[in-house]
Amino acid sequence: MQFCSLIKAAWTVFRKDLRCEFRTPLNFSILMIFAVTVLMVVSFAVGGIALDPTLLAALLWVMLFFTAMTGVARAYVQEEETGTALVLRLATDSAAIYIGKVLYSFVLLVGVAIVVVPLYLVLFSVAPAMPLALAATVVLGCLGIAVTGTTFSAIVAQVTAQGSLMTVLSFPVMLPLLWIAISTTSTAFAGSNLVALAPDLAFMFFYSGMTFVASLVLVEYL
Amino acid sequence: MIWKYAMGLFMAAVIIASFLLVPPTQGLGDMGRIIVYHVPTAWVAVLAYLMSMVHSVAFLRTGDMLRDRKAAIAAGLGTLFCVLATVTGAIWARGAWGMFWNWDPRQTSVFLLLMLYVAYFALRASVQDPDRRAKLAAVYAILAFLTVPFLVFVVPRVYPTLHPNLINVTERRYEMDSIIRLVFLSSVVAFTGLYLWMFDLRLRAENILDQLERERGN
Amino acid sequence: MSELQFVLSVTLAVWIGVFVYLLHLDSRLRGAERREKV
Repeated sequence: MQFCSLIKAAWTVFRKDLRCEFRTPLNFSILMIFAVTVLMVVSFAVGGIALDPTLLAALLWVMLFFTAMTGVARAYVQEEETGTALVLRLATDSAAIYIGKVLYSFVLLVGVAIVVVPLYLVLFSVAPAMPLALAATVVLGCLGIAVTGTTFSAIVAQVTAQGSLMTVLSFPVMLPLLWIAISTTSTAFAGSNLVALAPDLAFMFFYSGMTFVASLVLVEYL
Repeated sequence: MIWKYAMGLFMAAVIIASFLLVPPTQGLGDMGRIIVYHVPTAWVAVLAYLMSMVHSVAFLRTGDMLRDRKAAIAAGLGTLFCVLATVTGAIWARGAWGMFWNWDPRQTSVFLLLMLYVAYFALRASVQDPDRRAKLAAVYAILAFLTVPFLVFVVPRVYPTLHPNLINVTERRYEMDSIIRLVFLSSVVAFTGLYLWMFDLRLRAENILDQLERERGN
Repeated sequence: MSELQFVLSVTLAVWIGVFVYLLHLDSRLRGAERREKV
């Protein structure tokens, strides 16, 4: 498929998913409710204690990862549920569908992060020393989770007993990303120089990129 | 057939040599011998996972179920050798750093490798239909292996690790004495031979089981 | 027997056990293959 028409088709898929989501915000609600619940539970339990930046970073990403696990699988799974999966595959290239859904997942995750991360900062009384670095880390982390999560969503959509399989599959592949994100976030909380963070952020970007490219090719076989 | 006996003797010779011929390393003493077992098993694990990916790619391109069988067997053996590598590594860590596990980047990478392939088998177990199972597993095996170069090569070079680098790539030399080097390389050959034999046995067993099932069905 | 020799013996014994077991599997497989070909 020509590059231009591929991008156009992907954009159409993205807009379709986004439009459906605006009509009945099921996925966004699932993600938000889970994230806020975890946040409230943790804040209630340990909010009063002054926590070490690394611990705070770890908690943040644990929350974001498991939030993603509740909802990102729905990117492809909901097509199976509504019976539109076959039609979608007939309508356009699987690569276009994949790109569109990655964009969709990414927007959802960033949307959740925009609400939840500031809430997190407020509840734990954290004033990040490097707010831009924090934002960059969160965005890159959401990108990585969106890319790998959408791929595994495509795999899991074809399996009947889906629930825990998404987490089992995603966990090892996302773990390097999470570890780097936690380390970078911890530095963003505590403060350091931006140069030190550059390789970490680059790693997150390239790891996401590599998975993205591989998935573009592989998703056709699913 | 003769080469299997030869390999058996060769491995026995390597084992004996690793204890009697190889001198104790400085700083580690007798514990240092374990690299003769640790590095080859790790190498074989990565080799097996590579083979699993290669067979998975071949399966996606040709649809030949034999390729799927080979990919699964390779992944299984890879996991076995990965466990061996992790355990020998932990024993070494106890001797060298004082504790079995401390989330050193290298140890973390090998743990991730293990998790990747546990997930592979979880995926295989969740799908009943053989064709679908083969397809999904193949895609996952390829994705999983793509993270391996990152884990094995990039992470330890970028993040400080206590794990020794035996092969100094920049200066192109081995950091080992000639005796240890000889035993070590022989061990690599021996373990690779062992892997190939075990692969062959598993493949033949699966083929026979498959044939018996088909006959039973007819 | 020193500790080194003890560990050596154990390792060697384990290997011999594994090796004999694999040979056993090999011969059983060859038997089954012979039967199936016929």
